[in-house]
Amino acid sequence: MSEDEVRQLYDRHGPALMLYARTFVADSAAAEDVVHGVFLKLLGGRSVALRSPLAYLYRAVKNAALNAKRDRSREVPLLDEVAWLRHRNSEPEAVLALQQGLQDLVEEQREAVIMRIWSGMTLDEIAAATGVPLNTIASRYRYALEKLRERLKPYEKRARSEDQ
Amino acid sequence: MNTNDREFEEFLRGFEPQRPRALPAIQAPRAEWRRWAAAALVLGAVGGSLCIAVRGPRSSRPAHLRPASAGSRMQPPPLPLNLSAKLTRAALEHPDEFNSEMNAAAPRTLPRFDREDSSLRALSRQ
Repeated sequence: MSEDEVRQLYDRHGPALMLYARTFVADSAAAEDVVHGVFLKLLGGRSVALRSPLAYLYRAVKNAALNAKRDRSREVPLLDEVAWLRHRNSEPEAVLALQQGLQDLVEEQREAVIMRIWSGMTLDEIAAATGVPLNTIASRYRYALEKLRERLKPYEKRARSEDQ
Repeated sequence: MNTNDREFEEFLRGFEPQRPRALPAIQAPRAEWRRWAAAALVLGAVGGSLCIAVRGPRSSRPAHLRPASAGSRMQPPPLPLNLSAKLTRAALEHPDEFNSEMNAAAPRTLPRFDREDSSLRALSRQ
């Protein structure tokens, strides 16, 4: 992969990967370091053709995040006041509700949601990236959506009424 | 997937994950290798020029144009390998210090043109 291709991947998928890393580590700064480290390694290494760059990136970020979490396990985490996401209509309560909803999901469901919603992967691509059967991915994704919808119902209704 | 699911997906996409800071510019390893090679070449050329300037070619030069006798001239020692590497590193990483070192070394290693038996004086008389 050329440097340009790597930087394009960073621009397009960096935010989703950072959100993904954030679900493993204690704060946003650590998540950012994890994602940076993965991409810098990709930039600094020899040019290799990746059959599925996104699958590689999500796997690499997860491994790096788990290593970072293990290395910092003795540290007392500071309160992270940086929100994981922001909403164009500036609804902080909705952002917090979604953030809490994501945290409450089991890891596999959260992974499927982030890959699908913010990296735009199809369920087939998610199945290939995670090495899990498509039916399993579809189930995980459906359960995750149901849980998030339950938590975000009032905000979704408000957003729909504002759009109409 | 039904319509409600698609609408809820669109609602979720309205939330944007925090964007990480920009990646730094990366210098390609090949460019770094070329810099080292260029610096080594330049130092080799400078070292070689210094040696030639001091010793001069072994040829049928007129006596008054030959370098000064062995007793009075300063023979610059050949550059040891480790000194050459140090100078290369200084040229790349500390250019100001490198320039200062070269300026300080110049009077000791370059030929003196203000002496009575110097080549330049002899040429100026012609």
